[in-house]
Amino acid sequence: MSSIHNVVETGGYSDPQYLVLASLAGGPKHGHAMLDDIENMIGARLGPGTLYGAIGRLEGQGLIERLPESERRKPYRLTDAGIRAFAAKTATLERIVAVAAPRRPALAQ
Amino acid sequence: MNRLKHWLVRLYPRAWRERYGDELLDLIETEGADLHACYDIAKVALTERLFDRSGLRAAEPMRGGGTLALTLRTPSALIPLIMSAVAFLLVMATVAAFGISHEKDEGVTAHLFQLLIIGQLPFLAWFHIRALRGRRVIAIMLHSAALSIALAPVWYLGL
Repeated sequence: MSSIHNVVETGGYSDPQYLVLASLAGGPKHGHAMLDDIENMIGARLGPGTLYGAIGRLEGQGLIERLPESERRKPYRLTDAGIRAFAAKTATLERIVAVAAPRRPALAQ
Repeated sequence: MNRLKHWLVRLYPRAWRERYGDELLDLIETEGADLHACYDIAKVALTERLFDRSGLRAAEPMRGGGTLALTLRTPSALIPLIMSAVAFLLVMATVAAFGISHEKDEGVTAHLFQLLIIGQLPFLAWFHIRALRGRRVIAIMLHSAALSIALAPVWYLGL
């Protein structure tokens, strides 16, 4: 299992808040399920502190909210503001990738 | 492991613990607490204490715990930090002025440095006897960091 700090080696993406938003965009999840989902996305596992640091900030900004406890776990979901924030950031990333991707082969040679 | 995970969660401010502490404990239990996880938790806890990224403490009415600003306004917490800073600057200024010298006989700078480090002990003892537990945690972090910075050049340069 690789660390989130090995961003260069793994090609991982190291914006924990966006990763949490992206995970919750697939449906409500509790902490452990978010870690699994994020690991599937970037090939690296966030640390527990990093995950809950991101959850705390996102909840403080009103972008995610906690749902009632289910099976002793506390799931979270995106709020309306969170959905808009996720869509806006994803659009920005898509624009970046559209510009950056064609440049990659030239630099790799 | 049980004590370690509770100790790790206690690094966070009280308001944060009340909101997320149980969840973080569950996660540590399932994920384990290796060195990387401990570092990750300690780093985020320090950030949360210093900058209140979740905004939970700002929303909380002032209780016994106190904030970084309140801790720094306490002379017995502030004086050791100043002494560590002076000790660090003293070493750096001496090295800059006279270069790195390894003399058997300790000079004035070395004695001053020792006094600045050892002289913190009464203040630290006084603060930690009297301070509430929430403020002790942040003070331990600050004092440890300040002492490490003060001692780093002595250790690194072999003075």
